[in-house]
Amino acid sequence: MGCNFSPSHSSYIMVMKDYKYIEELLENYFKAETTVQEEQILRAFFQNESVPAHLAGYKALFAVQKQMSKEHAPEKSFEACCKERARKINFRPFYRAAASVAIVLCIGMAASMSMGVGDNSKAPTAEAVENPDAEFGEMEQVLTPQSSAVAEKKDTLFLY
Amino acid sequence: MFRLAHRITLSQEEAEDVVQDTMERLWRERDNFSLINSIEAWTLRLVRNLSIDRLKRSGRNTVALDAERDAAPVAGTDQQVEMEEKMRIVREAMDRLPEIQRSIMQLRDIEGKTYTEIAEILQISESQVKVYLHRGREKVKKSLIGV
Repeated sequence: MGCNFSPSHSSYIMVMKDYKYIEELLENYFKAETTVQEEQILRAFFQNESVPAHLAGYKALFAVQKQMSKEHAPEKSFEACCKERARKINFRPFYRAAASVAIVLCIGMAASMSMGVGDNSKAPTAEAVENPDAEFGEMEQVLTPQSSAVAEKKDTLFLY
Repeated sequence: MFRLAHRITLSQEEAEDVVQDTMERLWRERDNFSLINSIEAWTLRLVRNLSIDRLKRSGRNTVALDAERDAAPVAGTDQQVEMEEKMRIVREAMDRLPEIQRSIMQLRDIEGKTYTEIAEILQISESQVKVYLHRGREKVKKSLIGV
């Protein structure tokens, strides 16, 4: 006949094994031989309400650590603040810069155009026209029909 | 930065000044960031050095508890009162530790830094970090045993 452990007995053994593990962790903790993960296990264990009496003395130590980690803690992580800041970039300076560039371009274009008016290199000169009388006659032929058409429709035009 | 400065100086005002000085120094050194291996470690080392300078200037080394921590009477059950009392003793024990043990306990137990990171911040070896941490924790443990 094998040993017949009741569920409560086996769970008691499990609990004792867990405590053994915690005790070992605690011993290593004070020797500074625990990893960050093992220390997290200890903190999680000592957060429980039901800590056995022989370990209860250390509860205050981990409670203080938890309390201190919450003191002066930033509400958001540095990365979260940076991301939020990046989302809230103020575009006003960019608009101002764009407006400044547009103004400078307008002034530049206006200046170049005014300089272009003074430059008569491409305009026809008296020397360029070989036969002025012939040119005048040609222009008169073109414009006379237009002028008479305008005169005929003068009343209509005024209506507009 | 503030928490490490506060742990070393044990003063809210001085810790705030240290953080401000650190930020100024960071801004001045911004062109050299590419030369720094870990800016976080460099910054925390700066915080520690500035905090120690302030401690030396003020002529004290350890305990100077903030007014905020002055024990207010705790209302509650006996267990709660006992717990609060133990926590106060732990805090006082931690505040009485030498600066280096206090800083290492802060970096490890509160900030969750690895031994390697702490060694880099304090510019000591990992084994030295463990020795200081062991001594600090043992002192705090002894204060609890006495309760």
